[in-house]
Amino acid sequence: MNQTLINVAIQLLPSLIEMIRSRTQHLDPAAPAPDDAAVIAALEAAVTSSVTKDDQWLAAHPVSS
Amino acid sequence: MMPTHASRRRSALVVLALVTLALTAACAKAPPTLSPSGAAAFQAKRAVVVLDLVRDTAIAAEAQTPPLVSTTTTRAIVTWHRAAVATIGVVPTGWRSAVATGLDQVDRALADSERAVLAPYLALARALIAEVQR
Repeated sequence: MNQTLINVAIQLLPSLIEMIRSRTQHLDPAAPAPDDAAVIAALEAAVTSSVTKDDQWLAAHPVSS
Repeated sequence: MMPTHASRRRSALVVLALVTLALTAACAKAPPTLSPSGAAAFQAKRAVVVLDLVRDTAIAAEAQTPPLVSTTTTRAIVTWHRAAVATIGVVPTGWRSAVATGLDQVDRALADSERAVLAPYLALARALIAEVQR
């Protein structure tokens, strides 16, 4: 059970890294200040990527009749 | 084999560390260079990332042997997540109520054992929604 929980946690690391990256990228003084267009484009990309993963999982796990 | 006290403690620390990292990452203010609509998109993207974490937790837990979360529950979570993320994408300024309501419905449908796995991430999602509402 504990090893299983650790396995789950390890699989979540990419999501956490992405969250931290998105949280801190605008704190870099060398990075350009984000503008509306860039932020909106990033949101659209995140939504598309996220929904695609949902669709892939749902397609791989159909409701059994 | 029964888990030892040390291994239970190690697992709890791993989960605690991950949730702490996630909470730290989730509590961000929008950059001042953004207009109100840009700030809404900034917060909406953060919400998508946190909701992804809930979905990814469920999928990872369902993939374990034996599964920590049933396939039926995971399907409900993925379906809710898809609707929530699509709502956020369409209405970046008005998604909070619908997403929070769906989150509560998912939470109520969980078995106790499933809630034990997902509770930290559901709490994280609720914290983010409350943070964005300010």
